[in-house]
Amino acid sequence: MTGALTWARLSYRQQKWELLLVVIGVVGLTAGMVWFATTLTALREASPECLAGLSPGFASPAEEGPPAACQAFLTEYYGLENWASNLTTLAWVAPFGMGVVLGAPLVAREIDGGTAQLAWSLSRSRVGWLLRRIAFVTLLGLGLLAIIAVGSELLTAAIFPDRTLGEDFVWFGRRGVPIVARGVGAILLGVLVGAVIGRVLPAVLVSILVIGLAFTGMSLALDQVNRAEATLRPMYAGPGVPQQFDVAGMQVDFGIERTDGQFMTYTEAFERGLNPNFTDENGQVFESEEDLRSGDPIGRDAMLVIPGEKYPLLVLRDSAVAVAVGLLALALSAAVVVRRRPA
Amino acid sequence: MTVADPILETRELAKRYRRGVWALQGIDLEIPSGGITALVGPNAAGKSTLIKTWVGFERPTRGSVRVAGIDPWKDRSAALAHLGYVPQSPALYDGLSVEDHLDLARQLRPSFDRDYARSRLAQLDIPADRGARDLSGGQQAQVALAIALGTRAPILLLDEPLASLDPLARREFLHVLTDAVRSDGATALLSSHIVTDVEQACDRLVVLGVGKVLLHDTVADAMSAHSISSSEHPGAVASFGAPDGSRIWLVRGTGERPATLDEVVLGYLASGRSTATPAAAA
Amino acid sequence: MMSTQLRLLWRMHRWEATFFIGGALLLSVALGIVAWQIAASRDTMLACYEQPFETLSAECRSAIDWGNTLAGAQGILVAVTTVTPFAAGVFLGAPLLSREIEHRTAPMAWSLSPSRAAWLVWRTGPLLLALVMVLLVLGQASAFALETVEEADLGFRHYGMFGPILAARGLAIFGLGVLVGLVVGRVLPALLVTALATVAIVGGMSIGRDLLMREEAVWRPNGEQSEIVHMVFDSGFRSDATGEVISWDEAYNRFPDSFDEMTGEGGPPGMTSVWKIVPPEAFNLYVAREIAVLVVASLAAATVALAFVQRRRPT
Repeated sequence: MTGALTWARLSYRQQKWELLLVVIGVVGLTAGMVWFATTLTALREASPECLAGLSPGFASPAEEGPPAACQAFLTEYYGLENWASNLTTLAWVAPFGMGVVLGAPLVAREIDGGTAQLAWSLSRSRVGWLLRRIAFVTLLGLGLLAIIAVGSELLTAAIFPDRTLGEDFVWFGRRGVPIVARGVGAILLGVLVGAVIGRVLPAVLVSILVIGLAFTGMSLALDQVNRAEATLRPMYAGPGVPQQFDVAGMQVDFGIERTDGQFMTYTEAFERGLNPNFTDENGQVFESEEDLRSGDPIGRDAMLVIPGEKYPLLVLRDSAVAVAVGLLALALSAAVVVRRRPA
Repeated sequence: MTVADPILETRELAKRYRRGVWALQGIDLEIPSGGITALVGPNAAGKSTLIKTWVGFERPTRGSVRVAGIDPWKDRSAALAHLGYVPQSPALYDGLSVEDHLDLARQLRPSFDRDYARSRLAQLDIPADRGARDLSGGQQAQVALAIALGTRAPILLLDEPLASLDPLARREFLHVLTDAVRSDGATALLSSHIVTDVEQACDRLVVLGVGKVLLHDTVADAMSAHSISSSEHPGAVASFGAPDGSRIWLVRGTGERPATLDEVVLGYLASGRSTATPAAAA
Repeated sequence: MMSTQLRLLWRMHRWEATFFIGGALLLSVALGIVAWQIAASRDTMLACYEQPFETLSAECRSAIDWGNTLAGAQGILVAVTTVTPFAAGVFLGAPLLSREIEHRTAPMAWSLSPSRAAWLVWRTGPLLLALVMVLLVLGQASAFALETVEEADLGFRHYGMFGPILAARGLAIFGLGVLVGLVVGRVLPALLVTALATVAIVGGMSIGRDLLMREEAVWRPNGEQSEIVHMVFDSGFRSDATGEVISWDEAYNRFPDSFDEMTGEGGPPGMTSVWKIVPPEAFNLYVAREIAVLVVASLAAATVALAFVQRRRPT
């Protein structure tokens, strides 16, 4: 325990500026989220009639529309909501920022500043040194991200009070566990970049690219995997009756459910030489007016939706991949540190 | 020179950096345990490279190195357990105090004797709570030495620790080093390009030039075996310019007068330059 | 002498210079290419849009897809362009002097140069010049790209995305970064402080501009300059006879039976629906104002830096 506290103290002393600034940023962001959450909740409770029948975030008024007297209230409310959603965007960015600001300089500074020679001549195991060197900052970074994750979850709940967020894809990745898990990946990727490059500023710049590319690739790959969780839902529930929009679900794609049950996008349909240019009031898709008159569809308009109940599964998947990327980066960092020259 | 049970050794050690620069060329060296060995040579002679191969910071291009019989590239942990190292221009952590550095050393090497290091620093009146960036160059060197001594390692490798020190600080540093080595029975290898400093403190001398060992002997034998002649001599090692502008010859054997250690080193460095040949390609 | 200076500065800053100055040039080229492609495919696309959707040819579908791709690419490039001056200013400015101090090269530099102020100018001048020039090019490229797509004159909708304002922003943030770096004396903390300060400044200027716009907004009939809908600060009805402007609530109270007219583009009897907007012709004024503020701020930062460098310890 004494050793851990000493390492924590030493690590803090070596990165005091960055840690303080990051903490200030996190405190500010979280305070902002909490303030917006409480303010929006108070506004909502003060004028429930103005928001009755409106979807949060999308002004799709009921037939009667909001009373004219609500104009000013709605302007203020939606203005605040817009700012609040910007804060959740910052919450989405936070893990990547941690990776660049906290992760990249960790080892890079030791090499750049020449102190790696001292440390690596004293420590009998460079891997042991690496783990102890990054532990405090990584754990602190993850702790701060957890605070942001909770704040973002609270804010989302305040903006969408009628939704069960544990089974809802609203603002996926901008709240909750994925923020922390992505932090693991980003911070450890930053450490790897810093260990390879060995200079602080270039490591910071390159880590922006590396972390950005890594998580973009991860996202694209997960999109393909998660597609398997989607269910096919027709766009129309009945003649002239659009299917109720599943606000909790994640819309993956729009296209045509063929008569054989297979799904294809409109782009795929055209590429296959089909001509899905005609649609009737049931959402049935035809290639020509003649086909429409004769009732010979190629399929019906449909969408691929991942139902909200699968939210925990996708969160788990996203988080597991992010953590796995981080652990792989850590292993590579250890391999680099063991082999590289200290200056 | 061969010794029994060398504590530091190299076998045909060669090191090439990128762009084909050979820093070391076929070094065979055996350093016995005990005492202080001076590793002397001009800039870019390969002194730092040689020391770093023992510490495991540079991988040999050819040949091998051993620390107490252990190859530091095969078993770095075991090799480092025998070593205390003072790097060239010691880089201390700017944000840490002297005491923090001792804590760090203790964290990195559990066997680190913090009290011993602390006592060494106290003798030199270096405050433990002073920030590293507020120390003078001499004080930083003393802190680095105290850390190396605190490891209680049987081998100390010091890479040009005197380079940035004034004469008084150099004397103080050597005094601390000598005292520690004598009292602990450690072996120290100290690289420097200032010969006069090492003459008092060191028992053995290795002259390194153009990546090769030009001379390896005890200081006493090196001086007693050589003399100076003012004209060409059959036993001459090499000739070089004297401070008064005349030309003198270093002679192995009897000459006109005894050679100083400085002149012995200069003579061998001159001989090394005149016989320098590039190492064969790998 | 100049080439030596440039060579030395390149050796000292090649990473950042490659990333930001090279990146900005690349961005300019990309914007140019996208704009050129959009212009080249415009006639084809317009002809395709005139065809009935049901009978679109494969070539037309392909052309429309390509057009959508180009539009998407242009959107991303313009978004990156908007952020580039800030990022470049932070990453080029903040490390410039802080690295000299952190790596302890400042004592040598300041002992060699007879004047620290001259050294400061020597050190920052070329990089600043390169940054400003590249951002001017980028601003033009962005303007070209946006004009190719937009059918109306560029205005408030694209505020901060094109033109010389990019260079002014880069200049100001660079100056801020240099000053922060000089004061802080460590690279990474200087980067962070400059970045945070930039966010605060951008936010502050945005709020300030918004307040100014609200003050300076004028009433214009609903439907004029409809493409700048987002600059509408208020709406109401203006009496055709007296010019008095009343709010929706007041209009509803006065004309309870005229709700349909109110919600259309006309308005109640004898009244015209109006918006309170900042007219497009004020765009250049706002840009000029911001550039002036940024240039003054840069000069202020430079003055403080020149004064501070004389007194600062080199380590």
